[in-house]
Amino acid sequence: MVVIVRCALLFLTLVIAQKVSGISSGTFDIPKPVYKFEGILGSTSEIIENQNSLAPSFLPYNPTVIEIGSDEGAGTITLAATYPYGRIFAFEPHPRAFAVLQENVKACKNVSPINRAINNATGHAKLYLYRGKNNTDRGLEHLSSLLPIFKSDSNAFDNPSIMVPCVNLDDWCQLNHIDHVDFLRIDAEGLELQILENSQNVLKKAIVIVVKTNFRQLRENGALYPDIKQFLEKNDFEMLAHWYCEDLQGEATFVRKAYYDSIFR
Amino acid sequence: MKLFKFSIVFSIILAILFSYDFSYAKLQDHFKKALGKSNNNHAMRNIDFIYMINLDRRPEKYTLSMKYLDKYGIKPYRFSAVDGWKLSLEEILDVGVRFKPGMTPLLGTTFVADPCNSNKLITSHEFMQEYDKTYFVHCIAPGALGCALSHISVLQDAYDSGYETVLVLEDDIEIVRNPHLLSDLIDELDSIVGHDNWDVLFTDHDYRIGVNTYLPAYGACKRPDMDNRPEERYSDKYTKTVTINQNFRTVAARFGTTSMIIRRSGIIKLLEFAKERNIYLPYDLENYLVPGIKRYGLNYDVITNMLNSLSDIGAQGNVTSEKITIESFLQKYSHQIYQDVLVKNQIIAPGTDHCALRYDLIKPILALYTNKNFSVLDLGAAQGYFSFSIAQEFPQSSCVMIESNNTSYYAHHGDMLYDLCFLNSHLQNISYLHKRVNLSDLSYLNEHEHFDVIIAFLVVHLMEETLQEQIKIIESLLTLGDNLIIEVANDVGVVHTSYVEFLSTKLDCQYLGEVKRHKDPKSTSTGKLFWFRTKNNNKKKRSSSGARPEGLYPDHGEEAQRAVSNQKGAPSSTTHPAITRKTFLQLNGVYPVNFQSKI
Repeated sequence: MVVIVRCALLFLTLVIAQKVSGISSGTFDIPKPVYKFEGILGSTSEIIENQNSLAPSFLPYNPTVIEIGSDEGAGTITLAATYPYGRIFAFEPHPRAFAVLQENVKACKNVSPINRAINNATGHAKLYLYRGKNNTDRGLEHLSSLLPIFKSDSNAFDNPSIMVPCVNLDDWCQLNHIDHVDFLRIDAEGLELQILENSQNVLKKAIVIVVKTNFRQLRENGALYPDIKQFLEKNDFEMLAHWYCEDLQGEATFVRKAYYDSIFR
Repeated sequence: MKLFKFSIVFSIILAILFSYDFSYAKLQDHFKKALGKSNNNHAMRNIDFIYMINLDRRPEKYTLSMKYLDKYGIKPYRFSAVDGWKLSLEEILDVGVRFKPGMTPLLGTTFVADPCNSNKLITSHEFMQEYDKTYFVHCIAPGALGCALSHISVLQDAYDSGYETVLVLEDDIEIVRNPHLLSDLIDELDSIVGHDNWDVLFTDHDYRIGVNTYLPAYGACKRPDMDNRPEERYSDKYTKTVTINQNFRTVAARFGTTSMIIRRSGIIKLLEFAKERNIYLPYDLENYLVPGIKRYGLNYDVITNMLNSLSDIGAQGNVTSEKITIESFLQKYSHQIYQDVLVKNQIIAPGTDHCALRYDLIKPILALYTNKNFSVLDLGAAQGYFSFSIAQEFPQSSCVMIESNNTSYYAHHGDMLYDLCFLNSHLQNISYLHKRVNLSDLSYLNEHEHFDVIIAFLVVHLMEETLQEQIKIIESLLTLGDNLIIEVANDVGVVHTSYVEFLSTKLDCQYLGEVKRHKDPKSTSTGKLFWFRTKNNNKKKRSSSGARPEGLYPDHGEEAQRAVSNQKGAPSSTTHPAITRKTFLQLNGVYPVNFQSKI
């Protein structure tokens, strides 16, 4: 009996070892999924790189759209096509990216590119340029931020930086006679929560907010997703959809609670 | 005294006149008349008149439905439906609900004139705030308004004609049992509940989404002018059904109005509700809100909805596909599109995803068939970029596209592709099956058809959720074609991706390469393409309707010749279609149009 049990245990061990190593039997090991989804619109088997596709269902035909962190304008062009009768204000502080943005949206009559960073206050601020771990890859500068790299990161280094003009969103809207913003899209490399906290007037009337989310502290004082979610929920928003890479980054769509309740409750 | 009395009366008259809203016409001003009616032949025992609602631009749906009914000697009157997509802004604003004080504000949809072209309409989603502005339920399409107006117009005609009992059919029916059974069922229902004690009898169990699979409704939809509290919307009135006997049950909220028997009492109630409240929801979702309406259904299907029927309602709607233009297509599908949209070999709208890169990778495989006829199955064809490209560059090919509407993100791909077929009607070697295929469908294809090349780009992981089912699909595809080109992604369906990579090491497979999926420079999504070469001895598979020679796909087989259309103006099927007519019908083939009509 003891011999039988020992043989069974040995056999079990071999099977497990074979499965773990995937040898000879050609065993297929199921990997951990890369992306996850939470929310009410969407699923884990799909990914929407650009969550603008959810927003049109909640917006009038002529929305006022503010895009913060437009980079070279790939997303801006999509916004222009999606809302041909809307007004799109595309903010990009990086001078080189802004030059490309301007060129790319030249034909879009409903887009106004603005060479400013959105910040807590109006003035000037340092834009910390990201060039990869070796600080050499200029192709990664679209990941630049007004926030420096998180110092405890073992790969931290002194970012080169440039001074860029910046503006508070509420101030800018008031100055430019924009009394409401329907759709706010924010990709500000960690500054998302601070922007929202300092744009109370815009927040009161916004309908849809699409925001980049972070699960890891990549920037000094950079906001993490749970904080953004909590803040928006306190300010009368509900999360509609969130695609994210676990422990890394994602993008979430929030919609005004009354709109959400009207459809889903 | 006389002057005083006259002043009072005059003031009252003035008050009534000023309180009456003259700015909008009434709903009934937009009813469509039933023209060309004759009183014979459109009846059955216990049913005074049978209507079939059919759009003028959908003759093929009417023909197919009539073919089903003709077997039983049933001849409905064809009611020319209201085409919602041709309604003017004025008409639309007349028939909707005007937001008034006391109503519950909801997120709704309204329509405005295109600032650049006042003849065109734009939808606008707005939270109700403005009084007297017309709103409809969120995301309604003009097609749904046309459908509702058609049904209500039929009711008005039935009322005016004095009918006691009518059968109202839509044009995408399927006959499951002998419809004459309905006459006996009416007798039975009368004896159970009383002749005057029922208003509507649905001739099926519920709205079908698959064979023996139904889509239940779980409560009432919201209307701004009704009680929207959850305790009301989810009350027994709208959620509870009671089985009466083996044939009947009471019906609460349900989807679909494909086939209904309506008593005069029901006609009156439905008409009164519509005229008093106007249209807010699609017709099937308003039908059960009528106070006091007594609705019954069957415990099985007699006449029910056809599965995978092309929608004429749609969130984007469906203008006359045969008359669609590039301009109307771009207006209709103004949202993001997945693939580059090809019309007559030109990209008329860029998609979010790279297509040319993928096509370049598969071209060498297609080039192996130079100077030979070959068949291609494009599974999950999306906007048809690959099939249209192949059909254009390889005239000796025959491309079968499969796509459907009902996926959550990729909504209306089916309708879009149907329109694109017409825009690419110069291609005689394409066909389109509008179906969300499953393993059972692939088994059918394996039994009856075979393809030289199968393209399955980023689709298998969307067909089934579990890896086990995805494996079965891949196995089925490997026997269905000589060459299976499958694309998997690095960020979606990753379990499936890993399996395909594993499989590529076990079978005769060539890795074609990795391409960037999205055009967005920030995107890191990529797709890997694998070419599985299979040795299949099943090239002689065919149904009994026609023989198929050995080897690669032949020219001018008997079956192929029968499939060629001589109809003027209608795109004819290819001279060497890749599939038989039986398969075309079995899998809900919708293009070319004539393929469907030859039954």
